[in-house]
Amino acid sequence: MKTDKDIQKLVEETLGSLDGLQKAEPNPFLFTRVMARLQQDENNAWEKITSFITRPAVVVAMIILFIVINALVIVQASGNDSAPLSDEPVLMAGNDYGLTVSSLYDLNEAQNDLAQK
Amino acid sequence: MDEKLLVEQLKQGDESAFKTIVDTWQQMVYNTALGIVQNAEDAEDVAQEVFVKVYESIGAFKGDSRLSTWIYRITVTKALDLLRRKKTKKRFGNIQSLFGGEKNEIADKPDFHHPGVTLDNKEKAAVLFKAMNQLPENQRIAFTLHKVEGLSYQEISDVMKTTVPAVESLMHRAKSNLRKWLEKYYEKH
Repeated sequence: MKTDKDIQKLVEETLGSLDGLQKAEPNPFLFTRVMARLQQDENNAWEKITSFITRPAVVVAMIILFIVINALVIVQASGNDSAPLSDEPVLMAGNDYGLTVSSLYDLNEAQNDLAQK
Repeated sequence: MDEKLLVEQLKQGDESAFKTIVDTWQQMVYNTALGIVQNAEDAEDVAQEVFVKVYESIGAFKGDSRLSTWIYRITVTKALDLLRRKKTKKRFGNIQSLFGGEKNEIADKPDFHHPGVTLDNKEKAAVLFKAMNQLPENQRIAFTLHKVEGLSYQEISDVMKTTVPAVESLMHRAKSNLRKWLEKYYEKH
């Protein structure tokens, strides 16, 4: 049966058991392993990126995004086309110089005149 | 060895500078990790992670502390991360076994025998390392850096980014907690 004194002695000896501790030696190939790990991390980074963008959900999302963006561009572009250009000034200038063709009949007449000449 | 030059060269990606850093500090890193994680294989993993981190993060090193202090900090952080991961894994394993999963294979840790302990102190040192496992993190770090690495309180305060009085307090509480645990242990064994 241990006395309190015995226990205290053991406690103090235990607390002092790391005195004179020698250094443990690391693996002599630590540097090589670190370099291999760095290389692996670099490869893993690319693998992670490619494996992410080839996931089906990501591919589908990208296709949908592509379609949506294109749709927006098309809608925006057709919205700009809805206001018709006014060509009245051009027609009026044409009339002044007798350059306009008011109907297909006139166009045919004009073409026949040219052919006869 | 000019530390500033070494850091500059490593920032340029100079492999020989990195080798110099690894050669210079690998023993320090390994022993610090070993004292905290108490397992040679885990300590080796931590050492590798530390130097990978040094290589990848050297750009963030501002030179406001010594390089060794910065490396110590990374080592302590990585060692604690490993301990936390293991604790989480063990906890998860316990929960799984409650729900009829596989029995938790990670039982109590076997006694850790530090290779650098003198022969006549081997048994008592194993008990001390067991007791250190029970300490709160900060007390454990301070005690390990002082007893295993032989750092002064000033050096420990630099690593832990705290003050010398704070380290003194941590050491005092650590010893008090260790004594209590060891008394209970020796009453039973």
